Amino acid sequence: MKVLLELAFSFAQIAVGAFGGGLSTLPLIEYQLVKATGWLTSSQFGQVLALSQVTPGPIAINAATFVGFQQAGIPGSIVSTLSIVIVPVLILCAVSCVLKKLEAEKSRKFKDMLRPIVAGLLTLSLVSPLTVTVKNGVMTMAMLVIGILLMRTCKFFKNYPPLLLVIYGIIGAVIFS
Amino acid sequence: MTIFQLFFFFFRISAVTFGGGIVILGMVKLGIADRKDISDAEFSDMLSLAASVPGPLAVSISWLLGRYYRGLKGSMAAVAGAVLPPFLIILILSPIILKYSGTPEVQGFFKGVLAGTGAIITMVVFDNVRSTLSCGWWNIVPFVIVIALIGVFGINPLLSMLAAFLVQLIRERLALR
Repeated sequence: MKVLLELAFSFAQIAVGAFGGGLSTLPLIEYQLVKATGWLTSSQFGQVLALSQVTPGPIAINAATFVGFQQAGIPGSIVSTLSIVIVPVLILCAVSCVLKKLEAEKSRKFKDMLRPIVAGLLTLSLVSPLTVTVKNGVMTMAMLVIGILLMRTCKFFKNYPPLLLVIYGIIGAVIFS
Repeated sequence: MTIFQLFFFFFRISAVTFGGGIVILGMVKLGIADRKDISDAEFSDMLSLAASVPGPLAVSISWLLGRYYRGLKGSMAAVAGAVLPPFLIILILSPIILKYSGTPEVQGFFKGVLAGTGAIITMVVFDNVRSTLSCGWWNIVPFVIVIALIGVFGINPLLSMLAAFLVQLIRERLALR
């Protein structure tokens, strides 16, 4: 029971700070799951990040389902996933209760103010995949550089990044086994 | 849209959208483009509100669109449709991954995917940071504050974001006078 409450509380904190959507949420997820609770090691966090990129859905939901299961089985994954969903819904309801209609000007200003903060979070989201990839050796470092070049030069990979990831996963499975 | 249509509309989109975030907003926009029962203005109000609140964008946009069509029941059906595909997929994969995460094949797969993810995030960060910092010199201040507080001093990201936002509010006040 205690671990279910901890899961709910951790993912609620991730949800509250998840502005900008997607990758900019990574520093919050990493802080909660690696540093604050110790549920994941750095390399496990890398695995969760990798998993979320080759499965459908936002990383926050993917991480919630996986870590919830890891910590407390199916009840854990249900509680964690509900937490990451219900908190934003409550905030949405509260906001639309207070403001009958969101003024376009105010909303734009708010998002402009958030923008450099989200850019900072996004930059921080690079730290974990880069350090783990460097730690994994020369092969993965080379794959990273080639990946950037491929996406810069080849429209196909730029438009379908998951495809690049699946190919990379297969290459990784072959060369590391 | 009926409650069932709402559920399956988001279920379909969510099941094939990798990474979430902005991508899912594009898919939703595409999906309702031909509908006569919602205007562009109403939908862009929803987009604007969805992007102004924290939490996965898939959750906020499905909640708002569900509420627009069918009230509270519509919201719940739409959010359930958006959340179930990633939840079920990770729930099925979690026990398999936890069982085989020690094997060289699975580890190699994740190493490869993570290298590719590093490449993708590098591209996203590069574009985002360049455009954010080029729209005003001031933006570098909150940007650096967030990176320093979280990345260098290891402070809770939520508090760090709050600190940077307070700086933004103070700047806003001073600029008005």
